[in-house]
Amino acid sequence: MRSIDELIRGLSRLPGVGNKSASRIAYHLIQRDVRDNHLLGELISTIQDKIRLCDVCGSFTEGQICDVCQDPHRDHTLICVVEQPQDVFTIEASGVYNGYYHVLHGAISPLDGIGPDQLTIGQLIERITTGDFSEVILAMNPTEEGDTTAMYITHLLRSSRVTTSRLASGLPVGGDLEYTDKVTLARSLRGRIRMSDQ
Amino acid sequence: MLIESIQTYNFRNLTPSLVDTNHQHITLTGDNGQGKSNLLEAVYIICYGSSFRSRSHKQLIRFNEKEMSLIAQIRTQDRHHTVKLTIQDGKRRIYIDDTEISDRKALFSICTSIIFSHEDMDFVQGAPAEQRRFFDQTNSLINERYIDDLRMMNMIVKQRNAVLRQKDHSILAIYDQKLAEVGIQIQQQREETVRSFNELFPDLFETVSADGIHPEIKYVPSWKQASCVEDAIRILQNSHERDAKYEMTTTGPHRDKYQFIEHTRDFIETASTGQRRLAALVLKSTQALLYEQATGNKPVLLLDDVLLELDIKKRERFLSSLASYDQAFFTFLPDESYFKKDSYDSIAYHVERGSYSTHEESC
Repeated sequence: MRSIDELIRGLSRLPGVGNKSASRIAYHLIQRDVRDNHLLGELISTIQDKIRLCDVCGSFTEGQICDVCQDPHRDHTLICVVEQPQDVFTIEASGVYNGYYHVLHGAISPLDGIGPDQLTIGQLIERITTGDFSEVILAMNPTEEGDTTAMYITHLLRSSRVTTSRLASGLPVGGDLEYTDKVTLARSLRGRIRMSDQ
Repeated sequence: MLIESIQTYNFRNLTPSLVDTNHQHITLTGDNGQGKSNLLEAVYIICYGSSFRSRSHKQLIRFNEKEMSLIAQIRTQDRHHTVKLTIQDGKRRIYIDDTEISDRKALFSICTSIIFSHEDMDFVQGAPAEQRRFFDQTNSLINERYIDDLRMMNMIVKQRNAVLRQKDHSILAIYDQKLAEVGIQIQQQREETVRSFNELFPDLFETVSADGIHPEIKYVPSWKQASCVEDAIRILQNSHERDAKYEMTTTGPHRDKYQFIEHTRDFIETASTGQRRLAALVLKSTQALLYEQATGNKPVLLLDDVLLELDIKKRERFLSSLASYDQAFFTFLPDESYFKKDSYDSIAYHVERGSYSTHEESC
């Protein structure tokens, strides 16, 4: 049926949803209470009107400035740089970070036409030079593009007063050394932590 | 390691069937174009997830069909594995023991095969890219990390070339640093592997050819004067102007070369066709020996019509110089003499129009 096929095609365009999942969702939507579908449809169609980017950090917010940037009790010396707005929420959920954020909206990848000018690196440098920050945490993904972006920002900040740090990468907590892939293990060894000076 | 059986479905011209390969020697005889090499190709695909003959998945599917699959039962020293590869809607999927893998690299630790084929001549006399491909294959077999370094380097070179094309040189220094870091590691591994080759290859060639020729392999890195990351960065910085002009990275391990040298002269330039063919065969033999030395595992050998090119004495010397193996597949033309029923545990198949029958069945 054309309308079901169109719905499945539309759903399968969503990230992480393959054809099988799209079919399952479509048949579920057909059979459930129509009011739930109307509510979901309403939420989806209005989400882009309700959510905008924070004027300061570039994360998602419903107002002009996000809750994190408005919070005066946060550590003014720390700024964490991430690739995407959703990374802010992931780090916030960990509950261990109490500084501020900056969202780049991507990572440097000349092959995809993304250079430094396509990201918010200029705004980041501006915030660092005019703010009280003493440490910049580069929390980009441990990919070729993420590493390049981290190296570039470090390069730009080499003569500034702030220190730069990169999120550690390596063995997952509770993981088993035997089943760790070689690249991760090699990275862990290179970034090993000293336990004692003797 | 031993491939106990291989099941093919819509693979090239092969009739869908389960072929028993639970033997040390598998010989396949038949006229040209009947499908002998296709079984060798199927074994190779099971080991590496890709073909040595074709880069296109579509070519592997039987004419007028839309999907294919290969299933192999593999016995290693301590385990038994089922490897399955399917191509459906143009997409390749690989499963090890019913679990889908996302990177074909996971296959490399299950079963390794070394193919000896006519195309190997390219590794001796072909373009530098072909020669790099052979030595990169060897490095990947003996050092698991090498393939990751190589993939990383290729990605960095592509990104750096894009920077040069876009003329945004503000991030060129970053790519210089990254290329230098991974490139030096690759260069060092290539140097080490060529040293290992030269401990075996010249003597092996001399033994098989029996004509006193002792060719060595020379590694010619693009960064000739670089022994550390800082040296490589300097070379990359010095080539900025030229790179910008050509809009590509003109120096680096992606431009390395290999030469075959005999008494300071280029061996390939003066070698006869027979000597070049032999050099290609011995190169592959050496690869198998180095793999065994490095991992302690014996590869599956796939010899595709290559013995035909050797006279009887050379053939005997070549076979006795081969790395030890648990299993070998050989293809022969119908009139060609092949192994007699001897001390080997062997099975002989006659191949006709993609169908396999044991010699008893076909008589």
